[in-house]
Amino acid sequence: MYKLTRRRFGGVLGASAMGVAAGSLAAPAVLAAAKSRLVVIGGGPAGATTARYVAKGSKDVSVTLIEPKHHFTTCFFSNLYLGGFRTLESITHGYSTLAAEYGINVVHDVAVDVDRAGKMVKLARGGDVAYDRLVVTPGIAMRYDSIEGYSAEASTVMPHAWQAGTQTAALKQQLEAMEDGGTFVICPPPNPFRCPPGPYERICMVAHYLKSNKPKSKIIVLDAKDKFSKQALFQEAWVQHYEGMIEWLPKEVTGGVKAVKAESMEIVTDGETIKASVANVIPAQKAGVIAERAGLTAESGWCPIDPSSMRSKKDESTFVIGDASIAAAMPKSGFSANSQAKVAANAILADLTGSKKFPAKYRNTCWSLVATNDGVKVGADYTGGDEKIDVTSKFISKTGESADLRAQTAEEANGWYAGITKDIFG
Amino acid sequence: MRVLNSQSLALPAFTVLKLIAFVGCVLFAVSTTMVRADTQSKKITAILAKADSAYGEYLSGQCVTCHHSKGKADGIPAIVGLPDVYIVQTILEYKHAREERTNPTMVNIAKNLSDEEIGSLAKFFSAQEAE
Ligand SMILES: Cc1cc2nc3c(=O)[nH]c(=O)nc-3n(C[C@H](O)[C@H](O)[C@H](O)COP(=O)(O)OP(=O)(O)OC[C@H]3O[C@@H](n4cnc5c(N)ncnc54)[C@H](O)[C@@H]3O)c2cc1C
Repeated sequence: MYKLTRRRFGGVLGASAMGVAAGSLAAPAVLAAAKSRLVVIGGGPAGATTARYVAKGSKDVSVTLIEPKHHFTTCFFSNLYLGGFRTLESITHGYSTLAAEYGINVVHDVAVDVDRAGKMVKLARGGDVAYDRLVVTPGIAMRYDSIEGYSAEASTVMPHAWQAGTQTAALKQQLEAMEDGGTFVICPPPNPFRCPPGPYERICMVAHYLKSNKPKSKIIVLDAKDKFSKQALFQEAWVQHYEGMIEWLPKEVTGGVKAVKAESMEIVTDGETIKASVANVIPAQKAGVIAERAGLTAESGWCPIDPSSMRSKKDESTFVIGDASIAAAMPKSGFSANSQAKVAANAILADLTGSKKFPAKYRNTCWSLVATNDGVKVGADYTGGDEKIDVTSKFISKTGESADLRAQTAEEANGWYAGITKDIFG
Repeated sequence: MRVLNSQSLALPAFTVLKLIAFVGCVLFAVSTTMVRADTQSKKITAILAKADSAYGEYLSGQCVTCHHSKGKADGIPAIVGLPDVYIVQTILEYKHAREERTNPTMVNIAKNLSDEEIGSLAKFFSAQEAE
């Protein structure tokens, strides 16, 4: 790994606190001297929640949150935007409350490197930020090279819409521009990936939009897998609400997507070339690039963590939370990221202020809207095991549930969205 | 003065007996309910006595992902500012999936909570205010 030397860092921010950085954090006596510093890279559910809980937990820690975007559009509920149930504005949030009410120093910039020995983060626009504890929560990066012909450039024509914002808006525009009778092709990625039920909820939401607006259209699913999350529930919905519209082709049938041709809107599998009106190509994924740059990733491209705290297994001053981490049984979800953030915040406060560290308890629930007033969910409680995060107990919606129960589950998802976004952004 | 014959006496005597039996049953039912309610309230008091405020605050983080921290109820009930006794009772009902308390999310959560955790959460949320 390429590492910056201390010398290459100029204009150190918070230089007055450098004495503390030089001292060992294991000695709490040193900490009393000045405010200790937490730096968080990435203002998504994982990073923003951690920043907020640490700031809320102690006045003695200064918290800096580095995030290039001024507004964060959540991936969760972005499928509902595609289905016409939500506006993009209603799923977009700012950082002003975190700055004004919690005193978090929000820096809109990109972290381009980490000097772990010198405990310093280098910013794209220049300037470095010193830390005592670092949180790395960059979410995912696309493995464009997992599909021949796919690239960042090709994704403007064949959007993945797996990072919300312009990509999601592009996919929506393409759907709106599509002729009635067109073919929507979606390529769900191989495991592990962000939001296991996400592609299948998207199929429902696109089907809902097409059924109401372009009923002669078809949806072809070229899956990189042979099975998927909440499969029985989604397949029940596809028959019940969108009969004849959706064709799901597992990998064992097609061999998976081999290549895409953005110029001709073609998708190539083992035996066939399919022409799409709209192509939603979701490639394989890995942890956001800064994680790799900082030397926090394993060979898999994801970051190993200590299950009792989300502390990086590669660096004890650093925590990796959310999609970028290897959280074993926990799916890569906004709910998981937010849950893990609170376990990590407790451990960070214990490190920096000597407050009590409690046992790691994590939770997740993923709701999916499959049609108007028809919601399903899956969830579990987890603990930090010796080796990995383990499931304590779990639950899932059942096929054939009453319409009332499904409507109530769909309602719950709205409540969850209001709750989690308040918990992330204040 | 009217003289009651044995036959006419028999009926009221029987009625009185029935009445006594009935009152006895009612008293028994009331007292067992009271005993049960009393055991229940003793249990709740014991659970609340185990509350640890720092632990409650920590654990509450896993609740406010869904239950809005300032009491907005958009499809998930508000829990801030509820009486602690009520919160304990409700979590216990979920733990045993009683009556209306069958929501699988809450049943799954409640079954993993110890008495100390239930008490700590109840104390924490009852002290919070809605906006
Ligand atoms: C279609 C779809 C539907 C979904 N639905 C749900 C759902 O219903 N429920 C659910 O719980 N989850 C859902 N998810 C998953 C959820 O969106 C993610 O799991 C969640 O966003 C992960 O949070 P994170 O903080 O780890 O990463 P992110 O949300 O990706 O946040 C990372 C942030 O870091 C910033 N960043 C990256 N690199 C740098 C750098 N070098 N310097 C500074 N900042 C940087 C990025 O700009 C970004 O803002 C869905 C996802 C998709 C795609």
